[in-house]
Order: sequence, then C-alpha cells, then structure tokens
Amino acid sequence: MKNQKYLNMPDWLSSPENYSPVKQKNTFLQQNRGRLLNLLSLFSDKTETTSQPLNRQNSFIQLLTTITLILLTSLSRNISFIWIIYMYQFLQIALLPKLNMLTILKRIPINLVFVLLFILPSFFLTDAKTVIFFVLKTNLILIIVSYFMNTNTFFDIIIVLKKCYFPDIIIFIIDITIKYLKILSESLYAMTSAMELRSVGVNRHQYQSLSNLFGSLYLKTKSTALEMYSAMEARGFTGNYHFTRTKQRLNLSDITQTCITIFLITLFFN
Amino acid sequence: MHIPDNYLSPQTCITMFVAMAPVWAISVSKVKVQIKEKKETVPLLGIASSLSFLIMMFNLPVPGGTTAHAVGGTLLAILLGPWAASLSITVALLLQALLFGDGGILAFGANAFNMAFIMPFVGYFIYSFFKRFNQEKIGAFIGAYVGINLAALIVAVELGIQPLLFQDQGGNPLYAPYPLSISVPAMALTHLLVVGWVEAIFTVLVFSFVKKVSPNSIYLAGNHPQSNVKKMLSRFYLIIGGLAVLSPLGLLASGTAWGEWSASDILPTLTQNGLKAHMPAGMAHGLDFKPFLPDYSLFGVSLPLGYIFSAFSAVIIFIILFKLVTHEKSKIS
Repeated sequence: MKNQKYLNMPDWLSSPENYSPVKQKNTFLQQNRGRLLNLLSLFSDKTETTSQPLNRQNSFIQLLTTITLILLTSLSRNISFIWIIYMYQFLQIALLPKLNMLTILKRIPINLVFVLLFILPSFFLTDAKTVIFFVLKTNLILIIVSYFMNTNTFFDIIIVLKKCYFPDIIIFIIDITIKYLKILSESLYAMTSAMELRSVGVNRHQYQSLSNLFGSLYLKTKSTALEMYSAMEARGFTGNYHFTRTKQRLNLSDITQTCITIFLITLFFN
Repeated sequence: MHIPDNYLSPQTCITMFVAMAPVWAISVSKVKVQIKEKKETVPLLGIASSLSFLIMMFNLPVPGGTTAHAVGGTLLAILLGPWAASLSITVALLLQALLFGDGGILAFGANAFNMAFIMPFVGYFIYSFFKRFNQEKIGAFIGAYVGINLAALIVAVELGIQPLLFQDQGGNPLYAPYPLSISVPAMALTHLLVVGWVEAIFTVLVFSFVKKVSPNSIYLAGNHPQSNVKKMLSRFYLIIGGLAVLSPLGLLASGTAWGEWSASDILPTLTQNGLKAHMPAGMAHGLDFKPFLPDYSLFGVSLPLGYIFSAFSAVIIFIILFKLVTHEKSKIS
C-alpha cells in the first residue's frame, strides 16, 4: 500500500506545460566568452609563429625600431615619408609566414573603422586633407604595432624589459601576470560557461551575478597567490628575485633592420 | 579610455611618461615595504594584474543593449591598497599595449597616468574618507564614480589640448582634432551618464561580495605604515615637484602660447582670428624685454633635434630613477 503511493505520479507532472523561456537580448556572457576564447587562443599560437627562422630577430632591436618608427610617423608631416614607411612595413609583413600575415591584415579593416568613427565628425572642423593624413598615420602606427606583436612572444618581451633596466621585482610580477592570465581566464571562462548552462530565461539581476563572478575570481586570486607563495617558499624563495639575462645574438636581419631605421631617421631630418 | 598612438603628440606622451615615473618609483618602494612584511604580496601582485586585465576586458551590459567595460581602478585600490593597485594596473596596461595592441605604446605613460594613478588614488582617498564614518559601501560607490569621471576628464583635457598646441602652418590640427569645447563634454557626458555608473555599481557589488564572503581579504591601511598622512603628503610633494621640473617640456609646442604674444606677434594673431588689427596702447609702449634664450631656441639647436634631446633626457632620467630604486632594494636585502 505504501509503495502504491510512490508509484502514482503527482498531478502536476502529468499536466501539459506550455512554458517557453523568454530569450534575453543582451547576451553579454556569450560575447565575453568569445573574447576570452580569443585571449586563450593567443597563448597557444605564439610558439608556432616565431619558430620561423626569418622572425628570429633580436627583440630589443625590434622594440627600439618599433618605437622609432612610431615616433617618426607621429612627428612626420610629409606624405612621401609616410608612404616610404608604409612600403617598408608592408615589405616586412610580406616576408612573414602566411598565418602571421593574415592575422595582421585582418586587423587593418577593424582598426580603420574605429579610427574613422573617431575622426569623421571632425570634417566640420578641418579640411579633408588633415582627416586623411590622420587616418593614414594612425593606421600605419597600428600596423607597426601589430607587426611587433606578431613576431614576439611573451618571453621575448620580458627579456627586452630586463634590458631596459626594469627592476627585477617588476619583471617577476609581469612574468606571473602572463602565466596567471591564462589560468584566470580559463577559470573565468569555465565560470561563465557554468553560469550560462545553469540559467534559463531572463536574468533580472545581471550585475548581481557579475559581482559574484568577479568576487569569486578575486578570492580565487588571493588563494592562488597564497598557494603559489607556499610553493615558492618551499623551493627556497626569500623575497628576492633575480632574473638571469639570456644573450641574444645579432644576426643579418637585425643589422639590416637597424640600417634601414637609421636611414629612415636621416631621411626624416632631410 | 585607452588612448591609442597618434591621438596625442609625442611631446605630450613623453611629458606624461616622465610625470608617471615618480609614481612608479614610489609604488615600487612602497610595495617593497609591503613585501617585507608579507612575502605573499609578490605573487599576489602578479595575479592581481591578470585580474585587472580581465576586468578591463570583460564587457558589462548597459541599459539600451550596448556594453561598456569597467576599469576596476578603485576596486583594486580598496582590495589591495592604492600603491599595489597602481602597480598591478600599470603591468596590465603594459601588457595590453605591447601584446594586445590596446592603447598606444607611446601613449602608455598617459594611459597609466589616467588609469593607474588618478583612478585608484582618487577612488581610494574618497573610500577611506567615508570609511572613517563606517560608510564603506557608499565610499566605494562614490570613490569609483568620482575616480573614473576624473580620469575621463583628464583624458578629455589631454586630447583637447592637442589642436591648441600642435598645428601645421595652415592651423590644422596634427593629432586629435577636437578642442576642449568638444572633447570635455563628449567624455564627461558618456562617463557621467553611463560608464561612471557601470564602474560604481560593479565596484560596490564586488566589494560587498568579498566583504560578505571573506572580510579578511580586504586591504587594511590602519595596520600599515603607509597610512601615515605626513609620509603620503611628502610623496605627493615629490610628485608635484617632479611635474614642475618637467613642465618646461610643454614649451616644445610649436607656436606662441595663448596669451603670451609679443608686440610683433599680436597683429597677425588678431587678423587670423578675424579681429581688427590694432595694437593695444599698453602693449605698444610696454617693456620690450630681451631674454637670455630668445624664443627658447637653445643655443641654436633646431626644434626637431630639441625634441630628440628632451626625449633622450627623459629616458636617462627614467633609467636613473629605476636604477636608484633597484640600488635601494639591494641595500635592504
């Protein structure tokens, strides 16, 4: 008799239900997951791109030339000079492997849209020549930066910073940042996926769930830091960090790059 | 809020870089004290930088269907202390500029000044003021709102002075073209109405969550020697002193500064602005003073060379500052 009671289904289970969840228009969670995936993919791609012998350039020289080129572009008021730098930069891009080339070229239209959005209203303030010049220069600088980004790994940047006399403590912090950026973005990705899977319909308290998300992430940050410190202490960490320099040799492409940059500087002043 | 390259003139970028150098130097020395007391601060700073990076990357929903991102400057300052937050945000910004192309490489100093100095320090100052009256949540809210709006105002001023200072011969702007009368209202409106609220709500909610779940993991200034007001003031004077020393860099702007016209400059300026060309009586018979360095042409050094010299001087100052900090560190250890 007792079993009979459990065998009968409750009425609410047998009655038909017409519930269909209302779709939320603002899918910021999905958007952010896409961005996080992009970020995570950056960590995996880099090793392939620099394995080509052509890109084995000295990072320090590359950073110096990048900054010099940006500075010259920014200061120049000569359209022919800008054109020369464009040609030089595109020649460098053309010599890259196809994968890197595509990554740099894909960014150009997106960058152009942003620059145009910013500058177009100023047609009312200045003439068309100024606007076109601004767009050309800004776009060139963005290409120069993406070339640098695409030919240098995270580790290369750290070596460069050491050569620029950054304190060891800062280099250590940057080193940890890069490593934990991957770990934290993975856990943020997992948390946002879990949130999305568990939620149905409209979330009326989006900010509440966001605060839980980042609050948890902060607490995770704290506990991870403590764990990492214990691990470091167990391996003999005393509070000091000494970064040992690895020597990068200059090769033919470094020397060529330096010569071209010096040529561009002299051209700028003449 | 990340200013890309070519929106600010290189001269402004260098000035901002050198203005930020003392803040970085002091942050490193402050954080070293923190590390001596609590060694786990070292990994925490690195991981907090990644957290700051993720906060700046994460889009938050805004009414109307669009999105905006928080910077988290005040939040990190409340959770980690302002100096540590400043350092963490700087590292996050550096990585964004060098590895992800967010914000310019030349404009890194300006971006750091706005987001890693103004925002955490203003936010934290307001928060600690309200904390005295046990109104931490209100403090976090107002601190975040005021912090981001003040930072936005400074961004607007940095962009808005460009057409004023840097023009070609035809009077056309060379960098960001919008004057202060456009840049300030545009930045102020978006930040006062939308971004400021996003930042403030985000800050207060995450702060309340952390306070509820783990109240011990919030930075306590009271236990720390850095809460000493006198010390903080002396650091502040140091920063202002640094700015004062660097202010001559502003003279590199081409053209005469507004309101500093000589008697020979005033007539063309008046006609250029559509006014009647008439020499003011007071100026016509005033002193015509012959300075030691007429029009700042330093012993005949040309203007472009002058730029390069000051850029190099700035870099040398930067290296010396960093070397001094590391020297101090090796003495401690």
